[in-house]
Amino acid sequence: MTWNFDILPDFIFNGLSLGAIYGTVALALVLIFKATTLINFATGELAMLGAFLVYVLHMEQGLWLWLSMLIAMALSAGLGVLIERTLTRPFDPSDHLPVVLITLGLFLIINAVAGDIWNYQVRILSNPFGQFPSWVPSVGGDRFIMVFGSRLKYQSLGIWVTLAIALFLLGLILNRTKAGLAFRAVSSNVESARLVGVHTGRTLGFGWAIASAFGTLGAVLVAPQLGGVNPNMMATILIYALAGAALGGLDSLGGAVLGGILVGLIQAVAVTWVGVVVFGQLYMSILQLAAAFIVILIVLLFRPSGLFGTRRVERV
Amino acid sequence: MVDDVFDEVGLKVENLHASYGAVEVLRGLDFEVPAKGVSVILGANGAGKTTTLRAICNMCDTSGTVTLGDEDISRTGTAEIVRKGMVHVPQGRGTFPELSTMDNLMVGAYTRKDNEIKDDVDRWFEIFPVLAERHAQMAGSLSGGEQQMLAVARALMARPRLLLLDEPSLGLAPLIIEDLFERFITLNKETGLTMLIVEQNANLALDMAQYGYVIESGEIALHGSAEQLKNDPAVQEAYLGA
Amino acid sequence: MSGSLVVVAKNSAEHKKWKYVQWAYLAGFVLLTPLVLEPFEIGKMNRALIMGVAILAVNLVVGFNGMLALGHSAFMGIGAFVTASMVQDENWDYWQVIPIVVIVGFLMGVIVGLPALRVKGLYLALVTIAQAAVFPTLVNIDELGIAKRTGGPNGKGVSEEVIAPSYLEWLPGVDGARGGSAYRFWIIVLMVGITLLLVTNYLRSRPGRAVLAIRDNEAGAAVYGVNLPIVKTMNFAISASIGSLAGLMWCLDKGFVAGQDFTFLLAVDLIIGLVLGGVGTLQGGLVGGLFVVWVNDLTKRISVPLGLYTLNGDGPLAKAIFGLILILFTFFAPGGIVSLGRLINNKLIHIVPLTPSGESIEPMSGFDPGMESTRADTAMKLSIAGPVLLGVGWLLMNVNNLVVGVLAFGLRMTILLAPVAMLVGINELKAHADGNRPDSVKGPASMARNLGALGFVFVIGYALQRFVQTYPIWDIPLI
Repeated sequence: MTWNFDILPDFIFNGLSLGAIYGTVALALVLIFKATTLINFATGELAMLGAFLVYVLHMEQGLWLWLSMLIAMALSAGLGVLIERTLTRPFDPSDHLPVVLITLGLFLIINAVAGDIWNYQVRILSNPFGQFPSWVPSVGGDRFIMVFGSRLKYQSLGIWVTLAIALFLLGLILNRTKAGLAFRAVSSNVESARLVGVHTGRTLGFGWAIASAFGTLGAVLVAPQLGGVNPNMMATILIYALAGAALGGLDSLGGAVLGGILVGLIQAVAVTWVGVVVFGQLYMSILQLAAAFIVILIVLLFRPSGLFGTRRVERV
Repeated sequence: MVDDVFDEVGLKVENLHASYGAVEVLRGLDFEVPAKGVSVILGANGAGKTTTLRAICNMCDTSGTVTLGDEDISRTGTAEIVRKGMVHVPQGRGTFPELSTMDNLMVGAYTRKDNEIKDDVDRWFEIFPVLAERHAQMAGSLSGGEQQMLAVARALMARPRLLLLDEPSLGLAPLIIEDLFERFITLNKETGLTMLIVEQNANLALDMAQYGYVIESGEIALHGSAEQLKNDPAVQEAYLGA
Repeated sequence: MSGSLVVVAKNSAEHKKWKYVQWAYLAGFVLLTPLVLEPFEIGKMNRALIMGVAILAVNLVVGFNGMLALGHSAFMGIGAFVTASMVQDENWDYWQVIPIVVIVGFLMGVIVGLPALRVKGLYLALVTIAQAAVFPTLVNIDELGIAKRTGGPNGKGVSEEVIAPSYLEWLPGVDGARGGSAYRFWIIVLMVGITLLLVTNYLRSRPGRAVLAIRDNEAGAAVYGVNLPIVKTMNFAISASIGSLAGLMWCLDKGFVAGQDFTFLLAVDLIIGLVLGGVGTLQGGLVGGLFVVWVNDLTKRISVPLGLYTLNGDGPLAKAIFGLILILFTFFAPGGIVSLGRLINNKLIHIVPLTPSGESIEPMSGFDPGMESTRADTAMKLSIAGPVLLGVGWLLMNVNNLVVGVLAFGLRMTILLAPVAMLVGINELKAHADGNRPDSVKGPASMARNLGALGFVFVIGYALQRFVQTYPIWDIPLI
């Protein structure tokens, strides 16, 4: 296989839509990190559980897909609140080990329970953008839009629009509501937030809720790319999302989204290029994950606070 | 000592103990803060001044009784205490550096549900005009004095009945301190806001206060009206540099 | 102090005696393992010890340095693959590979650790979790001869099995059919012992103290001139090389390595073992390794009859139970099994520290309770409880329920306290003869001594019986 620049836009579009999904999951990580400086390693599994909720509601109960998604997001938000209240609040947030262990335990339990209920086969979940309206120009019955002479999948467009709407709503919640204001206050200074009367526990629960809902959204959007849902679906997505979050800066919400998109681009474009030019062959799945790892190492080496994170000075 | 000295008691503290781990910092404090007055707590470094304020707000392990007005708040959570009308401006100001000045003020009004919040913002902007100038700026980029004003204004946004101020002069230039304290006096005179101030700068504090307490090693060593304390030879020697 | 069965002064002759008793228990367990267990069970013990070394490596970072490392499965994998390749492709001996594995592990540790440990926070957790996820895919790369070395998706087998040379056939359990796993058991025990010794000395050394100082107060350590990034990275690299060594042992034991053995799930097993065993304790790793391997085995045995879907033989239930155990321990026993064990041990034996001049810090009366001693009574109760619980355990053993089975096993183990009762009984009788105890002590003390001795004889007899049953005594080569 030789490198053909004509297919570059295809890869860029693909990378942008994957990256948007990584950005969504990275956002779920950063929402919790920002408020508590903790990495929730169960983020991926919570998202997977949300995707399975959509599967049950939509594929098994026959509910409208978008309604199922909204219900699943609400339910996972509730689960997030429950986890925060029962499992993480009793611990001192400045001591990372116990809470990380709790999230690892949750990772195992959720994965195992999902595996027990739905087993580890891939189950098909309808593509939210599988049915395209008649106005979408299609090429030979396929769902593409021609951009720059390349095919832009209707699905990619759908993912971008969905994510844009979700981000807009998140922005509204954080900047225009009292709960959002409280969340930003707690992220900025926990003690002062308490001193102005903010219930920090409830506010952190609110953060967990939004994070879980976003994770679920990401999992549902990524499912068609993986052929469906299965309990291990988020294992690699979480690594890409971690790389995206690190690249954007672990405490920057906008950075998480941009970082995720960049990781998607790196994965789709750079890795393909390296695969074709250097190795003369496509090593997609192998090198892509390695690329995420290398991105994390490079970010830490040259800019530990990420592209958009704040540099915090640790005082002695 | 808990005999009702004042006509109306804003805050009454009885047998207050506080500890960090095994170290007992406060060993049974008794004091009262008169309503609508300014009281001051003096003491050396490590005497337990900051801990006293933290203990009143239930921010550390405490035992004892704290009564605000006629309500026992010794078992009330820190966030709930704000709703009861007591707001604490912590040492080192404790603003939200990543939030804008305006947002800082809005968080201050978090506990309120009325629709006069905007009016209050305008009011404090009038009293602290520099905050109005900087309303869109991140709090972290304000100067020390501006941040202190922001912290006080933010506390006032909650419409407190009682304001606890922990070393408001810390790290500020003398001119700014004087300016700040004048504003405190005005505030107290105009609104009748009760204040309890912890301060190392005893001269300034006793000038504006009506009543004062001196803490030594977690116990009240002396108390009296500001005049009495100013003329007390021990206080003069230890805190007024006379 | 009151409440303890035995109170001794640190480093006194009596303390030494009790230390010997503890060592005897340990040696007994180690010796009996290859003699009494079935070959496949010895294999499990080997696996447990290997996991123990890997958990020790994780502990060096998490428990002793306060950093979060979640990716030691990759270091184990690197060690295992380097070993497999060198032994199979280059015909090296295992012991010749040890320095290579240690150096490679160290270098990998520096590469991964340095970027992450320059900055404060959870970054090491982030990097290592990615490392654990990436590693199994890397071994499949065809280029650079990697897949040829690692065997790619098929894994790599070492065709030559590790069997005892003729001059080592005298080792307990090493012979014939069971010889392979038993011989490997002894090699692994030796390596575990050496590793533990080295780690103990490392932690007592100057760099080791710096590592502990960072854990306890990072900023404080920096003020006292500890170079944080260097010390942390060195420690992480040492930990990585120990992890690689565990990988070498893995290859030596199994004779086969594959990428899917070293996934993130293995890394999580290591963390669980760490928490179960005891974060920040040297013994914690080995205890945790035992528990991870045996609990995994138990849950497998539970899930198969229940008809639960299983994957890789572990089954989802095993993972759920592990997750639950992890959360429960984090909530209720953050010190792990070792701290619970210490709690029990402190009930049995209390060691009184001495002043520099050699006097006991506590008054002699606390040391030697004199006429008021209740030790004889306690020892008597212990000596009675041992056989009774043994009997109950024996009866429950026949109930065909796994949970009851585990309980029964635990009950039967109480007989191991019989020698303790015997020793205390003998001590009390001696004290009585010296006139330090009232006559009323004599009855319980001699009962404790006699019953305890009986229990002791029983334990030895039982071990011998199991030994003869599974390993005919006439097969032991006498020379």
